[in-house]
Amino acid sequence: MKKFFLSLSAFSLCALVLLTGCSEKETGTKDISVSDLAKELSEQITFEDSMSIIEQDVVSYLYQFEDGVVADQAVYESTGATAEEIAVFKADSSKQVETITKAVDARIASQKQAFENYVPKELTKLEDPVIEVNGNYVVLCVSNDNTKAKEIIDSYFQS
Amino acid sequence: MMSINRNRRPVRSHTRRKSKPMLLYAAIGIILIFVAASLVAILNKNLSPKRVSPEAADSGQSLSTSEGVSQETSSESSAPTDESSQDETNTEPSSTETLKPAAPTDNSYFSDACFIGDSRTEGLMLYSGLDSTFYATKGLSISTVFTNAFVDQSMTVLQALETRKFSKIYLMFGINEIGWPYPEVFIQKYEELINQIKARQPDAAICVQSILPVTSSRSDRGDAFNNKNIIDHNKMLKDMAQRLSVQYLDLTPAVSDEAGALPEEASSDGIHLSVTYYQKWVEYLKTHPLT
Repeated sequence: MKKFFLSLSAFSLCALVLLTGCSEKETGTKDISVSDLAKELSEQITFEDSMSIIEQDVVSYLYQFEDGVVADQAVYESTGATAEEIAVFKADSSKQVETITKAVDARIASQKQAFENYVPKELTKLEDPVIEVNGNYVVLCVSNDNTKAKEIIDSYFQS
Repeated sequence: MMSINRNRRPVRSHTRRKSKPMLLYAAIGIILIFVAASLVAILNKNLSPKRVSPEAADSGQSLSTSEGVSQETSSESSAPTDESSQDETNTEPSSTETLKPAAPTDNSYFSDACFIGDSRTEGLMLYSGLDSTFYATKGLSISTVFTNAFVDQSMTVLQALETRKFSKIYLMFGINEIGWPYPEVFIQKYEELINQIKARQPDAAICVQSILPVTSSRSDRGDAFNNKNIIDHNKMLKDMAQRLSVQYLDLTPAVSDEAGALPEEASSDGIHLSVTYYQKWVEYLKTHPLT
């Protein structure tokens, strides 16, 4: 009896390990630090405005995220003088990547609407934002230096 | 599989002593696997980084309906902390004197507050850390506030104010209207807005905040965005607040240098504030509770 329970426990442990392993390897993409990437973008790109990180609940409001969509995030906003923005999201699962990209598109559309009659020159940045999707990660960078932004983003995902 | 075993049970009854424990153990094993799988799911969910603060989670509905940053209703949040300060200015909610300093309140004081305004108020939403409701968007003016249905992408500010009650309503308009040829039209529309808010929120303390100054370099460019013009408009706002029996808060001391201008380091464009100065604004609000 003891032997059987020992075997059963070992089997359960194996199942646990296997299931854990499955969830980690779901994306097949390199794991990165969203905060590191966002910080590097904020520091290495020359923004016209000063960029500051915002709190998670404010991000959820701006991007209209519901629970269970984003696993990790780091967003930097300008003071309001420009449309410059950095947003790095890790989706909760691969199924949520599309939800996030749609939210990013909606955010850009909303910003275009806001700046159209406010600071029209910002539309130049908003017409061509960098939006990169890598596995479960979605990265947005609105700046005057898309080349540098792409270079930094790629450096995080290339092995 | 289970039905097969059940069907065979009578036939295999003679081997019951051996087979039944095995079946039982197999069933226990399967249950254990399900329990383990559930544990893994729970652990994964709990160990993943939090998406929203507990306050925001409590008010998830409000977040998804564009009602600003999270809204946490606290029954003990509405009382200003300094009794003596209340005595100085509080006879009626309609006290019209400029708000006086008091013992600092904390963030919970603003949980039932609503901030209405333009891009500067939007900046306050981004960087204040307050659990308040913000009806603010870039370029909002005292004219477009009546027509711009930006709240939840479907409601104007006044429509949104019909959906829930607030204890405090802070207003800031003026920087987008500073170049209007007739300042009296600005005041006339501001009065109309306040009267409409009063009709919808009769129990709320309403506060007109002064227009924040701009930097000296921005002020000296020769257009309407200059501090003299802002001071003139603020005088009119103070008079208006008195006429309408609402409160007025002069924010100039919170964010200005000796010359009464926004310090150069406080703004990238001379108008919008850096994070540090948005926080100075919040700290000033905390030391000037409404009466």
